[in-house]
Amino acid sequence: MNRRLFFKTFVAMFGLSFATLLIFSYFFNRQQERMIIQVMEAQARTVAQSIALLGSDAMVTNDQGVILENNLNILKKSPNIRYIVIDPRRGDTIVSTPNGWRIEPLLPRFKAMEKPHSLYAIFKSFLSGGEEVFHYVYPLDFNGFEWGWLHLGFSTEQIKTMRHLIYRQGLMIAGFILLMTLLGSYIFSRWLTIPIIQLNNAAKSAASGKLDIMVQTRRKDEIGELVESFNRMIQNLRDNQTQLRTANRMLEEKVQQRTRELEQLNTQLEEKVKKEVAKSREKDQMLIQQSRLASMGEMIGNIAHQWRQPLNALGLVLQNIQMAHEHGRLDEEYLRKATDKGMKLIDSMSHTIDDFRNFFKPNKSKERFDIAQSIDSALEMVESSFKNHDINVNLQLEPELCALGFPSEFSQVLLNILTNAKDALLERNVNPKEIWIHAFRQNTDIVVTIEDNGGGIDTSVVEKIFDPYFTTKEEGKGTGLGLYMSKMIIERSMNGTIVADNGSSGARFTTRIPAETKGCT
Amino acid sequence: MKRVFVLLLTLIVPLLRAETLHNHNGPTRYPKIIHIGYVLEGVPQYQIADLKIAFENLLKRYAASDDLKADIHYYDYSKEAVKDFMEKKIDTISGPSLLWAKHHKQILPRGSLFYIAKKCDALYERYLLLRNKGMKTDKRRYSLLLPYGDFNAMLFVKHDTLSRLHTIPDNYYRIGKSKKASIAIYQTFFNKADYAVVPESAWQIALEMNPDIANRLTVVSRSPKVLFYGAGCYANDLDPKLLERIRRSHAALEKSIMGQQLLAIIQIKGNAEVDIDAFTPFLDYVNETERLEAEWESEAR
Repeated sequence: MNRRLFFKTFVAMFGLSFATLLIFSYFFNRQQERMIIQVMEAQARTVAQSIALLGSDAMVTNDQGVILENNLNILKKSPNIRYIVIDPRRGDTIVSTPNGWRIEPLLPRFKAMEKPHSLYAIFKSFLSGGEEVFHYVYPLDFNGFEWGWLHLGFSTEQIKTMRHLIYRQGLMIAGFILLMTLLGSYIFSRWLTIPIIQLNNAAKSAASGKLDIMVQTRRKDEIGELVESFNRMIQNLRDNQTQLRTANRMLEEKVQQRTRELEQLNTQLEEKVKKEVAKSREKDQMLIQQSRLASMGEMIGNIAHQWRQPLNALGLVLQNIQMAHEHGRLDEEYLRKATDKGMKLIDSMSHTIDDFRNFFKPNKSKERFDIAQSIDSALEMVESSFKNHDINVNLQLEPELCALGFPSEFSQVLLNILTNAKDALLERNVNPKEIWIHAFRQNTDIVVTIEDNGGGIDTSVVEKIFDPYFTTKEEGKGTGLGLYMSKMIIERSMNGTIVADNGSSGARFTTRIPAETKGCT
Repeated sequence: MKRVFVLLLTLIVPLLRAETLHNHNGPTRYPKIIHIGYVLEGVPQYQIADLKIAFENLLKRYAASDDLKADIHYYDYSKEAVKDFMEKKIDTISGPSLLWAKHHKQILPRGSLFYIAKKCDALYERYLLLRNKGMKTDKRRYSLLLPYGDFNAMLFVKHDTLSRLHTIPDNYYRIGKSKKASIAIYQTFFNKADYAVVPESAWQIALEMNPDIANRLTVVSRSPKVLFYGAGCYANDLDPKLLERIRRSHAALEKSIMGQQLLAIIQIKGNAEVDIDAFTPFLDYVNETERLEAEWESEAR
């Protein structure tokens, strides 16, 4: 049982009592010392008065023989008196000791103590053989007649004996009180702390989960009430624990049941998710397919633009051949030249098809590429169309802008944006039609902005333009998948961002992709 | 006071003896009451009260400790005591040297088992005549101090004055009394008297207390060493066995605690059993003094 509180209380109680005892003993001893001196003084006064009374006749008649005999008798009967000195105002000073007497001048020290009232002092005197004495001076006054002084030297043995007796008794009393204090402190500390210690231990047991405990006490005071309250609390805890266990068991059963239900639901949900994912993939596939189809349409449109001029030229070549034939100028040389020219045109048209096919050919793996080349590649796709519609492209490209990713996909993104810009310029019939392409490096990114002067995007839809199937174009002209696919390419394939807002005169698309620090080669 | 104790001792001895009888002879009972006679003549008046109180206490103590009873009768005059002793009204008689000086002729033949109180190791005491060296020598009479009620001192003064100065003390001295011998010495020392007569033992003690006394006082004359303080005796018709037991208990006195305490109180060495002849030197000195006095008186006429 941990009894630190008991020992602390015991030590505090005992220490306090012991300190009180010490202080009391100190003052008690001082008081006793004063009492001893007072007793000595009273005793000395009694002896002095007896001597004065006994020798009064002799003193009045100046019968020094009787005075001396009285003094010697007193010395003989009072072993604690070391000397008696009679110092009359007139006559010899008689010094009597147990060993004899003599006539001699009074010591100055004694003379200084001769006052109208009695005096005492404690000192060592040669009259007592150097022994410490209680020296008492008593004025001998008979009916107003100041006859002289009486000096008495008492042994301090009595003082020492009384002091020793007092100290011994004091020690015995102190010892007894000390024992009683020890016992009292022990009993009080035990009385005070044992219930608390029992409560503490019980509380510890309760804290560790052992609730099969009860603290016993007969106390009717606050501690008794505390113990009773604690026992009630433990009983309540026990009841609550039982209820809690029951509730817990029921809860566990419910949880198990719910878990089973959840597991069942989860299984069904997984199946639903799988179905939804499959649907989503299917949808994505459809989107991709639609996107491809749109791109193909775009490609065909662009090819048509590219082919329009060479086809006209080829038609003229053929018409010229016919006219040359009609005018008789169709010779071998002319035919060879016309054939070369027609073949060049056909090669050019074939080359156009290769370019478009390569442009839309997806990259299989990431590679370092030049941003400027990607921009050029995209512009080539729309060059004829832009010329046809008088759309002027303004380029501002920083050199050595390299990125890591899929260059064809990035060109497709640019192409989508440029195509949207062209459509907006044509739809709103803006003159002149301008497109600004600005590519630059910003920190660790490469930023490409494409801005037109087509009037911009309606602010109410600016947040929706990257959603799939969202389009502002006339029905049948837009699929609503271009910008959605562009966002997918930039964000998912190239770890970049693409945002749209309105510039000073039209829409502005800003793409941001990580720059490649190692260069393009 | 010392003399009182000496006298007291002479009385106590028979009590102690009776008290201790059974110690030697078994539990024998003595139905007889021992009647003690004590002579106060020659004892200073101021000492008598103390003496009686002391006796009463001793008798009570004695009666409580033994079935042998005793009573005591005080006599103001030695003549009455001697009469009762002779008429067997008392079994023992004790008193100061005055008693023996005056009535030795009756007491001695009737007595047995004599004892003398000793003040010192010696059986007898010597008295001295002291003179103050600084006294005036042209006086007609000189002051003389004697211990109060001390028969021996008076006896010595008479003998010394008659034999040495050939006159009676009253012609040469104005005799005064001091309470004690030591006071007589001190008063003479402090010029209260020209002469003092004291026992030699008192003089020795005074010299021990202050040797300077010898510078002021001188011994003029010495008595023979034949004087004693007091004495006593038992009647010679008492049972010899009882007397024998008293004698043995007398010897045991100084060994008993009570006896030792008593001797210490009265400041005597003890009681010495003596033959009847031990009184002879003292009685001779008394007789010689009486003779000198008678001669002076006859010459004076």
